Amino acid sequence: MSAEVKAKQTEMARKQLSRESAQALNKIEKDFPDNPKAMDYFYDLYRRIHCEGEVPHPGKKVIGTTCVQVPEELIYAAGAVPVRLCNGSHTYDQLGAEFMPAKSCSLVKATLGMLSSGLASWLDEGRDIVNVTTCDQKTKSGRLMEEAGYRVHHLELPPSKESEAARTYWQSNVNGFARELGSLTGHKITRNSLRDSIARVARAQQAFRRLHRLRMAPLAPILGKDVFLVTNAYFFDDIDAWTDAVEALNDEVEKRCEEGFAAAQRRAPRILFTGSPPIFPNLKLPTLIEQSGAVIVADETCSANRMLYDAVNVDEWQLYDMVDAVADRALKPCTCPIFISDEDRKRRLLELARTFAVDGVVYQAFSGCQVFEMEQRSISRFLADEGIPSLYVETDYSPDDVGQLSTRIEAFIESLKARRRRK
Amino acid sequence: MKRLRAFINGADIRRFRFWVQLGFFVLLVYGGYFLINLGQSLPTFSCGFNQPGRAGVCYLLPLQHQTHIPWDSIISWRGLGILTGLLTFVAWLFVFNKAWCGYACPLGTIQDWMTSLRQKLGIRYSTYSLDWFTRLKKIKYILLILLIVIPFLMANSVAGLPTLPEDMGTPFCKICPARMVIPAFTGDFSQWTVDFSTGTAATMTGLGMLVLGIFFIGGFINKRFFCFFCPMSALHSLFSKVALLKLRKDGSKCTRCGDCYRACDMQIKEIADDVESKTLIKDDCMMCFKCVASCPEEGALKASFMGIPIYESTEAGFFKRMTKRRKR
Amino acid sequence: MAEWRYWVIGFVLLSGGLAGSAQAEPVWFSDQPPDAEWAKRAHHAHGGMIERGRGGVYVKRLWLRAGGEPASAVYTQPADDASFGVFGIDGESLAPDLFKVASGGGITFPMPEEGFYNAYFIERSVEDAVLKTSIVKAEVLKHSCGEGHDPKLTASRMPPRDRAGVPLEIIRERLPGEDFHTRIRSGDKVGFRVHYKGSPAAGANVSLTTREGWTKQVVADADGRAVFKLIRDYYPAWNDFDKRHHEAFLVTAEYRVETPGELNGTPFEKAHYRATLPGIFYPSEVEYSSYLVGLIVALIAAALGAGGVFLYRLKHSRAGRERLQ
Repeated sequence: MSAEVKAKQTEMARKQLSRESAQALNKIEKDFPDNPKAMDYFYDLYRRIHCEGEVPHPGKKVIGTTCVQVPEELIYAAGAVPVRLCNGSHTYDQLGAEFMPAKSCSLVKATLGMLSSGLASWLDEGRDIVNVTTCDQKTKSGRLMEEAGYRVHHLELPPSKESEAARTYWQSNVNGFARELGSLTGHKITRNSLRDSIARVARAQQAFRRLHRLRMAPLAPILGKDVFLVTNAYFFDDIDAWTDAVEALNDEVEKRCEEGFAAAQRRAPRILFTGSPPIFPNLKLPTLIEQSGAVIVADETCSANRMLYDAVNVDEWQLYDMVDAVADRALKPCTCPIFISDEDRKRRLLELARTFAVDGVVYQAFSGCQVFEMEQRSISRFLADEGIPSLYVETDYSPDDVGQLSTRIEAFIESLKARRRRK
Repeated sequence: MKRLRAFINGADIRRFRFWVQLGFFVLLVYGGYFLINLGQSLPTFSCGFNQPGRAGVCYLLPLQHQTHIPWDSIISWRGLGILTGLLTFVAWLFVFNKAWCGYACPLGTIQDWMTSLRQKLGIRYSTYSLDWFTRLKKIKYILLILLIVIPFLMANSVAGLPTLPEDMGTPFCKICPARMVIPAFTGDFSQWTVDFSTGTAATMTGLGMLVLGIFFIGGFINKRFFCFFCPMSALHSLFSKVALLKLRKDGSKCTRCGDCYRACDMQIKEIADDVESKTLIKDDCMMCFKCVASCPEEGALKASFMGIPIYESTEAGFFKRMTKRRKR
Repeated sequence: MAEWRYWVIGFVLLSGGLAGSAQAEPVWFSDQPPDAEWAKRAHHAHGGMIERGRGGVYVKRLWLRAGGEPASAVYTQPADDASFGVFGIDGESLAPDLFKVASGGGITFPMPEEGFYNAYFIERSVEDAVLKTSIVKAEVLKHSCGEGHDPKLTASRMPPRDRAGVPLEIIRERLPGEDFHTRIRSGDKVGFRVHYKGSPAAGANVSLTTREGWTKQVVADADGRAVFKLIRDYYPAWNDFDKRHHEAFLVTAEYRVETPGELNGTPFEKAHYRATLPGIFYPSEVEYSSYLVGLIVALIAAALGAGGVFLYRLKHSRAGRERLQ
């Protein structure tokens, strides 16, 4: 393939991506009334980055990450910026299809598609990626990234998290990664730099937790599609700017709560969203749910709650303890379905369903995402036993199934409303 | 009330503990000079060899004297003495439970000071692998049995064997580092010797000095090194279930993030992993409540007294403490 | 205290001519049984040998011995007309039993309460117009750990009995911080006060003799005080060493007054009093315990521990940890 053809393809992809993103953003922003004023920061951010192709973190050393288990505190401490490569673009999904088997996860394909498109120019300088060995597809895609010319650090994650052996194994891998980061960026991780980066992430987590807590209000003060957009922005936004924007949003949402404002109908069924992560522009399912008259009040996905909820606890503020603490945070509370046991995920879902007074659970699985598909049966049965209705939705990034999906979702939401009336 | 609660739950437990521990240290190690006497059955290492500074005596010392008893006089006033001693011990424990270890024990406090020193020097702590942890944790029970059985075998001949020599008296005190360390704080180093008067005495006191040497290294490198082997902790655990002070856990709120386990000086894994138990006082627990302070989940862990929560994990408290401690 | 007066009168009435030999050599109380048969009945307790009476009560048996050196002193028989008495914890007079057996004799009395008992045995005679009075005293501790260690009770029972009841009396002063468990050890300075009829017997000759025969003589000062530093008196083969070994000392005080008078119709021109008080002491801790070895053992253990930790860490250091430091 000549360079000219390549450039042409890249240009086509850029246009397509821009169009796709603009459509999605338009839907999210314009199809709903009464968006919080503070959301403008995020709408604008997506417009700049996704539609206009602005480069995030210009002039900074950027390290791509693929999963929530990457201890981002270490990357910040080494003077670099982590950017999560997972994306929800159908354009990239199609581009990545050539590297992966037919029945594979849209998210992995989209990631590979982006890396091969030539559009991830902000990564090009160092072309450094940290790939965590979570599911098979992610693990193996790490190798494909290497073939595409990226420098990949394979961060090995154990397949279970209960045993001490798994914990020590993971801690030692994270320590190895921390050491490598130092030589990668030229900034050795020091006690002070790590302490500061833990603080920065903790501040972001605090902001997220506040938003999370505000959504417990009996009248949902903010729609789930906006919150997904907010947490999704954490993938690539400057962490401090993001935190400030979230705190501004929190203030506004808090005011809304005090005023008794309802972002959805007063009696809208409250939905807990779980499963494969909704990532912009693929907010297809959350938007459908909220267009159908329900409201997403909480989630258990790795693009939101699972990424930002759990906090680092350090016992001794020395490097030896901080690195292990950061490693622990990435492993121990994680409810990713790649782990052998699904007990923690069940308990987490139940606790969220209870504290957020949830009416029903929507479980999204990207077709080809085996682990989420495999956990579906046990989770659905568990929720049924607990008396919580749930809807399992298998989908991907293509817009083809929207019609069929909306019928199913409307039916589910109607059943939730009927159930409410009966009570 | 609500604000008071928020204030307490946001409190820096380490600083609180430091001062309480210091207070108890002064009380138990120097209280004797102020004629304070808390009796002979204290469930903490208020070392009896620390005279006249002691403000009470560690129950293990009289226990080892009392079990030096001929078989036929157990049903007598001497047997009654054992019973009243034990009841007093249980009464003390009934109120404060294992917080005697985390807040009052002078030897524990000394170990915490050693830990602070190590931290300041930036030297990493050691932990046991889970395998060794489960193996070594039995030692305290073995010591507890021995400290009761040995004095008894000094007074009774079992199966025609000769009785144990007199120099085996108070066998645990002989190897307990508190016997050397605590009197040293009142300037009394007379216990830092090897007694060559008999072979038994030389062995026991030699063993004691050996343990002292290990104590200084172990206590420096491991958090609460000795507590893991402490027969007092084993004796506590026999009665800790019924005590008024409790550590409660609400498993449904737990994310098993392991933050509490990270903070635990005694490496108690169940604090993070067990989501079934309502109260979680393991035999190694010293009720320091560092776990409560390091839990970011609202109300997942709490210290309660007679069912009334006195210190509870909160999100606000967690982040407040993290920010504060980070700045220091 | 009426009893006390009777007792004094009893002294006067009972005291008569004892064998002259008793005057020649000091007579004193010993709780060591004279032969194996008696040894079987004796048990070790805090404060010396005891026998068990009815109901487990401690019974003290004090033997009379004659001779200035504890090691070679012989067991003697008390005279029939000797006077004797025992004072209990509160100074109450107890009635001891006089006993005489083939191997010796003395007094025995029960000790129901914790604290110090004072036993006396007095002989008087007039020889060459000199009244010779021998006052044999023993201060006996009764303590059983089974009865507890109430510090207030202990403190209240520590002060020595120093009321004048006998003509010449030796009173052992307490060591600093002494309690029922305190052991006098070689190297300790022990003070004695000598009272003549309740007042300090300044100028009395006071001597202390150890079992092996070491003797030191001092003159009581204006307060009647005499202080001795106990020497080491125990030299066994190293493997026979017993830190609980009872070393013995005997304190003798002699006091002369030029007061004439008469005893049972026999006049005398001056009086010569001799009081004895036995005691035990133990080997000093420095004789058998070593700081040096203790420190060496602890240091070796610490060094091995530290080295072990260091080597372990060197070997098992997890990837990156050292370089991160």
